[in-house]
Amino acid sequence: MLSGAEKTYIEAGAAQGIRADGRGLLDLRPVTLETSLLPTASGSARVRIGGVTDILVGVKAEVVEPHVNAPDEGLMSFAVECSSLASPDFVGRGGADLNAELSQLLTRLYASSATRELRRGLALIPGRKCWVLHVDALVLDSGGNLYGALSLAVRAALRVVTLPRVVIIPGEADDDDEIEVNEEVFERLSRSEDAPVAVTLSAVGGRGIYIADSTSEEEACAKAAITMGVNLAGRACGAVSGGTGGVDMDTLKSMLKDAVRVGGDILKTTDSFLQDDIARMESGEEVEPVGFFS
Amino acid sequence: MPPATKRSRSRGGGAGGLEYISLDGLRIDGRRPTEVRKIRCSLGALSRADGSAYYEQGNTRVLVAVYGPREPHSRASIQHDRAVVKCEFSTAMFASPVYRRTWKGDRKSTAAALVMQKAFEGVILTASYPKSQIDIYVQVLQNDGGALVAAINAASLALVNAGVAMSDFVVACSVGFVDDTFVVDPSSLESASDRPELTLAVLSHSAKIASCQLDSKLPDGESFERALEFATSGANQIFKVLEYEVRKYSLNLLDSRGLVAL
Amino acid sequence: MSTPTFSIVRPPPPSTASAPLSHIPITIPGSTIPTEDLSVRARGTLLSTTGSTRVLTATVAGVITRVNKLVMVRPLRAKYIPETGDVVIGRVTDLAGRRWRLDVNAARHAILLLSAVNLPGGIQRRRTYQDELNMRAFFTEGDLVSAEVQEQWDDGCVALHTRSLRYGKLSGGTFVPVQPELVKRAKKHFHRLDCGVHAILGNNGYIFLAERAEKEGGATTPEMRKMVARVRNAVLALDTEFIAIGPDTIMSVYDASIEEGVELRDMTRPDITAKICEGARSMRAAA
Repeated sequence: MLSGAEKTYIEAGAAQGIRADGRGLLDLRPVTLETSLLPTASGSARVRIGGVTDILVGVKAEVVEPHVNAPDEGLMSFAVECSSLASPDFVGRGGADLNAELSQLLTRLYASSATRELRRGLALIPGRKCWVLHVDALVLDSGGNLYGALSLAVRAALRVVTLPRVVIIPGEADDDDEIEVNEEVFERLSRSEDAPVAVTLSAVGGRGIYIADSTSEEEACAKAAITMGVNLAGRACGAVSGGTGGVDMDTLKSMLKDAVRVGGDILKTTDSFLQDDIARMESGEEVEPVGFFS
Repeated sequence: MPPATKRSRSRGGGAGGLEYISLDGLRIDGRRPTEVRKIRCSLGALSRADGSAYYEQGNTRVLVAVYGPREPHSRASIQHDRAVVKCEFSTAMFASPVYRRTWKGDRKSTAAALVMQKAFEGVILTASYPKSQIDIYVQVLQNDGGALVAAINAASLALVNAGVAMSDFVVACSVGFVDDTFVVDPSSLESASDRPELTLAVLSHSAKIASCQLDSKLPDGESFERALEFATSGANQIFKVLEYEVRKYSLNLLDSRGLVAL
Repeated sequence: MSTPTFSIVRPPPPSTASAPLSHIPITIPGSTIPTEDLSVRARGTLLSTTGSTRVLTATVAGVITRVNKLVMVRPLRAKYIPETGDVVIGRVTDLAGRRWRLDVNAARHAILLLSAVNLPGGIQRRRTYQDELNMRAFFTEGDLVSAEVQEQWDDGCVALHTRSLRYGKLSGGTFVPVQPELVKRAKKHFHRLDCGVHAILGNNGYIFLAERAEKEGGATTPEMRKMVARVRNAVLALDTEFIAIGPDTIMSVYDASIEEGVELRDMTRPDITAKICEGARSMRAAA
């Protein structure tokens, strides 16, 4: 709940280009990121934004049959749960709608042709066997920009996912190929760098003014918001829009351009940060994650 | 890297030749029968909740948040002379070794939440907070056996972190039975569905029992009292760790804020 | 190449420093409090009977405080407990029948009666039926109000009043909630900080920062807005580090952040808050 006076302060600030925490319109809050927190998962990551939005992602892999419509691709299934830890509002079925909306966002983000190579990398025997990655996200705290935090945590987890090496043993007939899973050797996902991040830009206050990485207070003032998936190639992978206000065409074009730019910054900075984590993984060095200790 | 929990799956769990207690009297993970797994915990892990704790017992990991005492969510739940205590127990989708999407409304979770509610209702001084509500939310992040035990212990820490007045400090411990031996704090490998398991929650100072659950009957010849003894000794081991952690955390806060009279 | 608009860091490792001040006894719920006189006890304690002995035990984790013969345990962290005379900031949650209810970060919402509010037209005029209908014109749902705790009723409910010109609806600024045990009980709760920003430090941990005191007018300049943002970030840094929040500690963090050249958006980075709070930390009362 926000008072009219607080909304006015936020909108007037946005008009002057200075937000309540001193950020510029397209500045993002500091992010804390850590990977490989869950030893029993194939990959995991925890992202915190501004100390108020907190997402934990675990990825588990299983061998299944591929989809009939895409026999040469593996599968990715996404499920988001807003934990009651984040708010008593999520108790019982309170978070059900938001869970569905967030799960749907991730599904759409990864469904486009931009991630086809990633999915192809999960295939084992075309038409018969493939990996499915169960990507499960837990929202531990919700302080604005859930889409951004979720997509970032999912990307970081996928970047460090390792799967056991699979060897194909040819059978006598064409349909008899079998797979043998080698639990001793693990490999990273090919094309994990194709994983997109979602950038949400919210229209706040006057015409043509929009902000990135909004706080919950700013979200309460937003008239409309556009969320765009952006990948390393600068391509848009899915877009979602919401809100009851309209956005004029010029502003929309400007927002889409800025979303790609901001997304690019996020991807570049995140990847150079993850170099350390990935290098450590590949050298087999084990580092005790900080996790939830303080 | 995923740990070697494949043994039980490939051999079908126990009866088919898996040795739980070696000739030296050691369990699969090297523990003695009366030994509790390594505990690591941290108070105040979540900043938004009024109180919180992160708790690890072996490979079982839970997070607990306490919201309250606070204005009750619905008028229907208001009690004029005391606080209402509500619990929720939820397991993350990536928590089990075998992938399983559980729902927090399922039978096991609801049962666990009820056990916790009854245990803590008895120890929280609810009369000090009339017409209010105290919520305890459990999120299991990784389950290698003893999730309810971990949840109860973490909840005690979270309630202390929230400053909720209690008559005593609740500590839980479980006891299993493998290879004709009682084992304290069984891991998931040591807990099978047909084996007896006792989960005990005690008040640490008065030694009264806050809650006692026995799954499956004890084998003939073994007494309930013996199982209780093992569980109580385990609980005492755990209490020492938790008491130390509370003192360390409190001293850190005191050091930060200073002895300013507020 | 454009500079990145955000920073990404690893979470800071937990401190391995040994427990400081270890000579101070910390209680845990259920632990015995040594005391001569069992009849004189206060908050944080419980009289219990074990067998034939009566014993005083602690109900929270805290420090034993003895004032004259009164024994109590002050919890180091707890929900705000209102005391008469406290200055608080509340958020209106609902209104009906000549009163508003406000969230004041306590176990229950507080009540603000229509009769306890300053109304236009004189300080002591009678409340009319019109006033009752117009309640939303004064304070509506979501509004932030500064008030004083007037009294506590038998059922534990707390009544507020805004019968001084300094209290009332808050605007022109930003709301910052912190842990209530960090706000020192002081003579003053309305401050004009050295940098020019106005701060109301509610005993209940609710803080309001504004560009100017309520009654002045005029537009806000970007410079002023940045100062308010810097104060806001300084307050949050103190909250994260669990350091007492007062005009002195706030300005210490404010000045340190400028001296260290910390950008506004980086002040809340976990690796930076400890650094800018060093000075404030050393201001705490010695043990």
